[in-house]
Amino acid sequence: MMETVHQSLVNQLSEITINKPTDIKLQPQNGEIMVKKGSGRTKIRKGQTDAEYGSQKQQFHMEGPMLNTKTWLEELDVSKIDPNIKSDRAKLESLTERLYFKRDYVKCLETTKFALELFKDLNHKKIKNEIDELEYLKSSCSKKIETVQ
Amino acid sequence: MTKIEPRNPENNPIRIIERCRKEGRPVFIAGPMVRYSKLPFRSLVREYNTDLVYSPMILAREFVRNEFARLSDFTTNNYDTPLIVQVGTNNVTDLLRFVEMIHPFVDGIGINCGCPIKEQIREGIGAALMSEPDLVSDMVYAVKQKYGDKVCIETKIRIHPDLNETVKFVQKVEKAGVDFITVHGRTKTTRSSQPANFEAIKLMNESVSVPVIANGDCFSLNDAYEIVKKTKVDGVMAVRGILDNPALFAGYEKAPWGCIEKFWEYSTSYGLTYRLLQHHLSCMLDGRIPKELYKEMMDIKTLAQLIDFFDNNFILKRSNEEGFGTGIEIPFKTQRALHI
Ligand SMILES: Cc1cc2nc3c(=O)[nH]c(=O)nc-3n(C[C@H](O)[C@H](O)[C@H](O)COP(=O)(O)O)c2cc1C
Repeated sequence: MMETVHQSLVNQLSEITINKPTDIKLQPQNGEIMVKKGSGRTKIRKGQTDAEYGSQKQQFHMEGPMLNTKTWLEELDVSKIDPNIKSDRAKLESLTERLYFKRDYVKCLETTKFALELFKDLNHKKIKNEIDELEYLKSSCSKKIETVQ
Repeated sequence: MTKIEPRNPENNPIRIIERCRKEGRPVFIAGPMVRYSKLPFRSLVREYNTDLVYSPMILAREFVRNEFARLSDFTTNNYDTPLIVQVGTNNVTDLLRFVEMIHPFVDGIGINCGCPIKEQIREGIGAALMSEPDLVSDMVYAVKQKYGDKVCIETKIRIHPDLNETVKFVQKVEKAGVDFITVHGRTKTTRSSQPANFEAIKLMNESVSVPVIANGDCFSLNDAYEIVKKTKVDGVMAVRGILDNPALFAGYEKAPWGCIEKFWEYSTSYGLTYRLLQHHLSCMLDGRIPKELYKEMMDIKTLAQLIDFFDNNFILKRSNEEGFGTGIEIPFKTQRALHI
């Protein structure tokens, strides 16, 4: 889900293309390294200073890795979901899918409607698959609930 | 909020290898797969006699620099053990930083010296390291110097066209302090359709005293025992075989239906991107359901529709239903589906 965000950040990682590798002094203690591009040219992968690393380490130390327990989706605080963040939207969708899978159609319908409302101002063309799935869930849950009643 | 618990020393890969030796059987390992060895799959294979499970390769460079990379590349929980995280790296600094950050959450760390993907090789990662024995030894040594027995470190290698080079390679990393070595019995240019070279794996096993794991062409439990017979190694790693049949090490010839039910349960509770879920299910069901049904499944665009597809065509039990996770054969619902 976060692959696109991640990729764009990765692409921003500074790359300096050079032609004469011998002119460059690397700082390996920072993880700076020279790599070969497909074109045969050489490129330096920028290092990471101790301070930069320190702040990453601290963030990870405080928050730890992403924990996905059996119930984490159902325990989500959906009021904190930011519809503009793809990974946040993905969490809400995974929750609707989980509820549908568990055949909890009432809760699923409620969550689906909440998601559709939350996403209503976004550009639906850009998130077509997400909206299609939510619409599908809404109609399918409604039908299933009607059949039971 | 759930907190992650400290690692159980019994789940250190070296302890597992020792235990299996005592039991007189090989260690069964699910190897690393970019994209596919995610948390739901790792949890699934552990239910079927898999002793040790790898994460996909994670790039150290991104992991230590980028919170988004950490979130997307590594999700876990307290049951995600024994776990070896595999790292793609090309320098000591990134590796040491990666190990410092991740080691409290894993049971071991493996350096990928086998990935043949061009983009990674250009970066000096994966199979590029097979021509850098000094760098690999430096990396292993740096981690062992800093952590000693606290961090178990493995290298997953390929063989060279000249096996003497591989012998020197394994001896060098052994000297640097590596805890065990996995040998994929192919060179970096051998196609996976060519058989793995078990003689070469045997030779590597004879050349070092640390445990060696054999990788390549293990598609059944019987294969695993045959490979051990040929190579005399401590354990066997399956990758393509276990992707198609996560119950391989429990002796099943094909993924039993219960395994598919469990995969659904893990994937929807832990969360898995739809395309990955679809791919896993397609691997487990390929050639076992009628072609048109398979095609229909592959054309489905959303997870919700895939749930309905399964419920319409098969009896897919949920975890609160009796008999969940125990079925063997595919329980088709319709007559049409009976003809493959
Ligand atoms: C889909 C896929 C992804 C893979 N990803 C990785 C990886 O992340 N790291 C690695 O060392 N090898 C990776 N490999 C190679 C396997 O780990 C293994 O060495 C190879 O497939 C041979 O084993 P097998 O014959 O059991 O499949 C991958 C293989 C496949 C098929």
